[in-house]
Order: sequence, then C-alpha cells, then structure tokens
Amino acid sequence: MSGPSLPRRTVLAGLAATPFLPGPAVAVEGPLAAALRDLGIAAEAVRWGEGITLTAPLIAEDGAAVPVAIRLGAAAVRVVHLLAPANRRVLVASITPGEAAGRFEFGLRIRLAKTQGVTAVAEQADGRVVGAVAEVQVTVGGGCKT
Amino acid sequence: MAEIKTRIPDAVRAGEPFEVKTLALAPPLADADAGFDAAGVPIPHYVGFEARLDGRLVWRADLGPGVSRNVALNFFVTAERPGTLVLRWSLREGGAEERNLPVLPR
Repeated sequence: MSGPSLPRRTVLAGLAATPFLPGPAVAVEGPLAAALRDLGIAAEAVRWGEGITLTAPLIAEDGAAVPVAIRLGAAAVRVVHLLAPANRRVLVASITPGEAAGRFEFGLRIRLAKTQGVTAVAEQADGRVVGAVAEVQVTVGGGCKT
Repeated sequence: MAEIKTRIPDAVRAGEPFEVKTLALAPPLADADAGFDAAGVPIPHYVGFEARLDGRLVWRADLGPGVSRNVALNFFVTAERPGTLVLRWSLREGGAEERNLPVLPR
C-alpha cells in the first residue's frame, strides 16, 4: 500500500520531530480525588508531568512488590505522596527529602491490587503541586486482598 | 532482629550523590491470611523510615499498607565529609530497627 502524497521518510522525520508535549491533563475522579482531598491538595491545581517522572513497569507479574521510582527536577520539594487509586488504602507512602539528599530520586516496591494508574504528587516549596501517572497492568494482585 | 540488607557504593566522592539500596525483610507469617486485617487491608510490619547523616535528615518516609511487606528502598545521599549514615525503620508494634553505615567520601 503506497500512499500517493506523503513519502514515508517525511512522515518518519515528522514523527521524530514531534516535541514532547506537557503531560496531558489527568482526569481526577473517584478514590484518587478523595485521597487528594484528604491530603489537602486541590486536584485542579496539580500540574501533570512538570518536572516529575514516575517510573513503573508496564506489566507487573506480581502485584505484591512492584518497583516504582520517583524522580523530581531542580525545584525544592516538601513532600511527595504516592497513590494507588484502585487499592483499598489509596495512600501508599509519603516521602520527605532532607537537606543532604542531593538528588531527588526515590525508589520503592509497592503493592497493587489490580491494573491501575499509579500516581505521584509532589508538593514543592514554592507552593506548586506537580504530579505524574504511570499505568501498570497487574497480572496477579498484591496479596489478593490489597 | 530482622534481616536488613544495605548497600552503598565502594567509592563515594565528596559532594556527589551516591545511591543507597536497602531491603528490610519482614518476619515470616504464620499463614497466608495473617498479613491482613479483617477488612482485607495488609498489616505492614514496617511503618516508617528515616535516614540521617550525622544527625541531619536525609530522607523520611511514611510507609502505609500499600508498601510491599519486605520494604525495598533506594535513594540518593550526598556527603561532604566522612560521617555515619543512620538508617532507621520504625515498626508497627513500636520500636525500630537501626543500621549504621560509615560513609567515607574521597
């Protein structure tokens, strides 16, 4: 199948040049919205994907120990909350960096009850809130009861 | 005393962040249901973590039931001068596990 107008090379070059768009607005609803409210964070104020990276496997075979890592940029961070909206207890961990950390990179293993979007929300010292979501497919739920 | 594994790089440079890897194993459970409360929420063994370098706070984490039972944490620390990295895991039934790691930057 050869299209009449667009040469393949042009299309590929165009795809490669597509700039990374800022993280799409995440529809915050249900348990995640409730958990953010409990933390005193307004869901509309969260800037998704700005200076925060959440690394998680696409597919987790064992939901009882899924390795995730949170990386943040240069801005000073007060606290980072890690949330698993489909778990019975949504708030997984709250992490506070001290002065001698040097680089904000924190990895841990978490339980995931089922396939869901793991969410990290960071409160910065300047009052801004940034967030990131990583979708994880869970084959076997974490401990079956999480 | 629980089994806790810690690792830092052999060579640490002053002023450069280095990665600390830790794995705190929880004691074995009597049976498969022992790790969950009546509502089905996991009962964590470790509920908090704190890392201090010569008394200065480096990291603190509140660990909820969503953290894996064996707590694996890795994070970065920056040391300017020789010191002791004190890692402390607090337990749900009170008390804490503590490990001291000497840090000798060059």
